Amino acid sequence: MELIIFIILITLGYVSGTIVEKKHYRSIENREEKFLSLPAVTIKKCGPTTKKVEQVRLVSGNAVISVDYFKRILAGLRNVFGGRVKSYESLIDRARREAILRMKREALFSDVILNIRVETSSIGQDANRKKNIGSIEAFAYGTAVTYRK
Amino acid sequence: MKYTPKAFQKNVNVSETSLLKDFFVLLGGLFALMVLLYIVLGFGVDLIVPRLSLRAEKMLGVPFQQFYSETEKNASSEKLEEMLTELVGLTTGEKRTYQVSLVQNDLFNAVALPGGLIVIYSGLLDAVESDQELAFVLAHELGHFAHRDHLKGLGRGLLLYLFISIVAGPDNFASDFLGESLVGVQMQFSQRQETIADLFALDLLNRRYDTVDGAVSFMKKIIEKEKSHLSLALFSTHPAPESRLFALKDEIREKGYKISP
Amino acid sequence: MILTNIESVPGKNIVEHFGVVSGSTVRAKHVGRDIMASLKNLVGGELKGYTELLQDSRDEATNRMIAQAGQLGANAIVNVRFATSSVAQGASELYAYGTAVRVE
Repeated sequence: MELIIFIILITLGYVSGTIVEKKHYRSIENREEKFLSLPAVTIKKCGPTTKKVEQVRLVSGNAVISVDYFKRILAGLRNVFGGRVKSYESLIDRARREAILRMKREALFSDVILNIRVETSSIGQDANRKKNIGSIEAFAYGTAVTYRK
Repeated sequence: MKYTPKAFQKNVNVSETSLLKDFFVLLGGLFALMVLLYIVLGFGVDLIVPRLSLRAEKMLGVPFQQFYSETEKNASSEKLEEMLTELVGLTTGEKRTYQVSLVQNDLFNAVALPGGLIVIYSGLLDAVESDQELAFVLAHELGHFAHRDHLKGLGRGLLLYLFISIVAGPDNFASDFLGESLVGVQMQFSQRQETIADLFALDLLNRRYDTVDGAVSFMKKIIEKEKSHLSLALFSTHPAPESRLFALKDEIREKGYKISP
Repeated sequence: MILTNIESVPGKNIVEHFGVVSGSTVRAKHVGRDIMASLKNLVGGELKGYTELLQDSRDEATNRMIAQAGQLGANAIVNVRFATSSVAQGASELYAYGTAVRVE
């Protein structure tokens, strides 16, 4: 009985997880193309020094992405043997890119985002370890600068 | 410094291999590991158990004895003891002392514990209809003692638990999964032990009563009980009673035991 | 590929930049290492297995970041930062990011 539930959950996790991930990646790629003209850099000085600055402000964006049942099982198995935990790579990648995109959306009319930083944390895991609710939070922040035209 | 907008051609941060393939490879690896572990553990326990002296077993049994000694004496527990003494008198091989303890519990079960302690749950006692059936239950547990299955089961369980908790930590998905699967495998193995204990009990029953009706009728009772609640054969200690009944009938035919039609 | 964690590449001029590039990886050690580590936890001392694990992961994250910068035609990454997080029990995640530039 338990085995049947397990198999149902894992199939459900795999199918829905794959669909959700594909959809999310498509949306990320679309928006990344839209925001391609707005550079986000980790350096502090960038762009023209002759132009006057009109506005400077802190912008940020975050995203929490949840793991699906299949990925969690796969990570648990991987934990026994060691090596690259492939199932979590896409989760983190999605979380970060989404966070950066949301930061860029906040800085929509700016010319450049300077000194960006990205933080990652896993929430829900330590608070409720037995149930192991795996989710990953990415938080991106930086300084958006708008130059006078 | 000018900005050149360019998109990435491919995502280097995500591995390209299929997760599904990864999953099956790892699952296969885990099963191989489990089988290996089971063989190594089983081998270790089987090596130690026959060398364990009766005295050492008694010491292992002390905590159980203390736990079950508080049960009260009544007519049915006295009857159980009487019957046990009779049956023990009929056994061949080394003589040792056995104790029987009746526990008030609705479970339909009986357990053999280290130190020669047999625990009968009252749920089982209520279900049996004849002395023969009861004798069959007691003889079955004596069969476990004769083959030292009780120690093997306990030893394996303990070692497994120890190993799993060291490996993966107490509350981790992997440890739960590993534990459940390993217990499942262990149960499968103990089915063979159950059948051997059944045959031991059959022989004893024949010596005591000259017929073996009790064995067959009790086994049919177990089949009834199993049917009433759904259970996967893999995850229960006394699974597939049908196959046990089959083995009993085979033995009855072979040895020519008497059985009333 | 030149990697720095300052604003520029000393002695060279940044002529073009391509925005942020990043590399990340998640890795776990096999149970044997985990057992050794939990034993080491009793007595203290360096966990060689984990030092190695984190160093390997960091190298891989860096390599992935460099691969991304290569795709864009950059020849240097400035202001590189590393971040570590634990996304699952027993597994560690390494993240490296910086600004891809072309220097002359």
